[in-house]
Amino acid sequence: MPMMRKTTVTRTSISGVLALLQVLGLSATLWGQTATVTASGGATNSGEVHLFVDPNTGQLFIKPGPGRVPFTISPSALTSALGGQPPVQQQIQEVKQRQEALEAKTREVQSNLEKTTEQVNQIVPAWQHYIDTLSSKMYVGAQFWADWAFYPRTGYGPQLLTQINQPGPGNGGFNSIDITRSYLNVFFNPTNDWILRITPNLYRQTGGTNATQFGAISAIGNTVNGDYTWRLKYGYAQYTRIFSGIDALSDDSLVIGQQPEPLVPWEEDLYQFRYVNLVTWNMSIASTFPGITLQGPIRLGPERLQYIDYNVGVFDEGNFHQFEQANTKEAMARVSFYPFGARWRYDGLGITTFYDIGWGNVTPDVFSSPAVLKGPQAEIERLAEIIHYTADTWGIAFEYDWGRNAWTPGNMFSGSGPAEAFGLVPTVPALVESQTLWANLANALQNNGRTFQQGFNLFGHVLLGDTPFTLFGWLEWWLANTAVPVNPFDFYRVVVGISYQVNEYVRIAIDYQGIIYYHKQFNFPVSEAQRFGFVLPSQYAGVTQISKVVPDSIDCIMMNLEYAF
Amino acid sequence: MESSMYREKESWTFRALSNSIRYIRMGERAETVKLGVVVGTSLFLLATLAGCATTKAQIASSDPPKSARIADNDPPPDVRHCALVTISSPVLYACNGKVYTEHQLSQRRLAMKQKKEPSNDHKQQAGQPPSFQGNSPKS
Repeated sequence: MPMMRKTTVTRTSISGVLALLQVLGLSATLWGQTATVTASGGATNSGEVHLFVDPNTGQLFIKPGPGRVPFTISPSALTSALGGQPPVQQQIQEVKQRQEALEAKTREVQSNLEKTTEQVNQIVPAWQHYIDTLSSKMYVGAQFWADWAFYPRTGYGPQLLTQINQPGPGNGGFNSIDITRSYLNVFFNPTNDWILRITPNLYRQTGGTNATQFGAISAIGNTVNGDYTWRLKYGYAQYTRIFSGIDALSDDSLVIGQQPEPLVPWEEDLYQFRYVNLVTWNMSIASTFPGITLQGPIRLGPERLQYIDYNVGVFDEGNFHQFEQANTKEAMARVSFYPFGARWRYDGLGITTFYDIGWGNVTPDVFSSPAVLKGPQAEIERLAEIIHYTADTWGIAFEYDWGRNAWTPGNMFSGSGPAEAFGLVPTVPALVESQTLWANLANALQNNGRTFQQGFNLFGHVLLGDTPFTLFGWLEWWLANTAVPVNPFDFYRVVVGISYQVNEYVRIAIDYQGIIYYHKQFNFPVSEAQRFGFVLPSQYAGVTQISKVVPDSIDCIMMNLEYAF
Repeated sequence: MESSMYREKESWTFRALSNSIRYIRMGERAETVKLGVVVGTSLFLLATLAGCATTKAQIASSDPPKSARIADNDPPPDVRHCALVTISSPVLYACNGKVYTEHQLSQRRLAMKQKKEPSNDHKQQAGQPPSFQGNSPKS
């Protein structure tokens, strides 16, 4: 039994051993740990090399024999003998492994990069998303009305169109190019149940011309000089699902904010020629009020025909260009009944009732102050009964109006009025007396808190054959205060014209408009005027009659343009 | 003077109505007569227009189905033959019982016009070759 003991060898001796092993063809298998094992010696899977040594001679043998003892070389000893470096094959293997790992890492990075690039490409900038979706969430439109108005005869009276004014009597030949509407209509509907509308519109800036002190010794002129400027016409939110659970009312809305008044805009569309002239009640009441309304059609039957169209609401006493001063509110309601059903808004025969009740826009302390005649503190009522028929190419309507305290000198002279009616003095001295008395008379007859109005209107239009021309007209008979037996401010209003439809967006018209005071000229007895609160100024004591009280009529020839989209 | 000239131009209708109202205001039965005039006038117009409405109802069966919805597949109506529904943004028109925006009417009219009138380019391709062919463009 040979003595088996471990032998420690030096680095030098191991180098020699390695050289031997290389000669023997074992080196390739030593470090790979997959070495083949010789019959009794060689490399094992653990990396150790088992040999045999003759202690007496120091010879190494690969096979056991007499006098030989096992001689084991550990991997660490071999590594040390090779100067700490693994064999070349191992290094190559390591390099390959590192390269493969690096390539895998590179592929991973490349893959991640491609994914990132794809994600980046898929990212839509916020502004792009905003722009892309904006068109489906908002609509911007505009309306523009302009005219050239020529007055063969001027006079005092109501406005023929909003924003236009003519001088008083004796200014025949006056003419002006006017802009009467310049809307920028913006509708936002980010959700399908709420709509926000913002509509600025121009108005003519008029007012006093006092200069402004600018420093201790200087001043600058007033800029309130007649500019066209913009104001808010409409600004409201509309909830369109207020009755979504009721099929007949599913198109109805709740509207909150500064919005169209229930009658005037509706009637303007019924008439179709608002760009030419005002509808009757618009001379008394504004077309826009801050308020809350319920409105819409009531549709019935399988074809969902409109049988009723309504607009009911509560509003400020002050309209859209006035401060609200009152502690009361104004109620208005319009109900249109279509007995045979309407396929669209005005289709066929309709019967419309409008009622408005409110009070003067004054503060509560003024309203409650004692007054013989309430004047501007009075209750105000307006009623309209309209029977109308509308077809595709023609339409006709008759309107009866009744009002209470609904026609003040402010309405009467909205187009032009005597200077005295506005607290100014005419620059023609000879006219001061007559104008003072006349202005006082107008105030007494029309602003005494007990006035009643009546109006009769016939209006319509018809397409002339297969042409782009439409004949239209409006005849109005207005009784300014029926409590006055013969009221010098009663008038006829006549509008007749022809319209040319240029295309879907543009119409032009040429027309005549007249305010005709039809009573024979007469002198108004002071005693009769005093029944209505007329106060004779002390400097005119002894005057018994107010002379020539019937105003001069107004004639106007207009050319109008409408551009709307 | 001007007033008298205008009075001569007043129509007999207005004069008659004016005189009637003056009588009404001064008469003892003012309220009753006033109401009668209003009701009578309204009934007259209602009866007149109702006649038209009845006629419409009789021919309604040959009309296209009643609908106030916007239709996209019908031939384009002419805006001149349409009623104005609302002067808003956009303006809406009603034609044959259907409601269209002005944009729809405009687009359909233009599309129809293009179909009827081929463009100049198209005519040129079908006829003579372009005159500049073979020549270098001049700036």
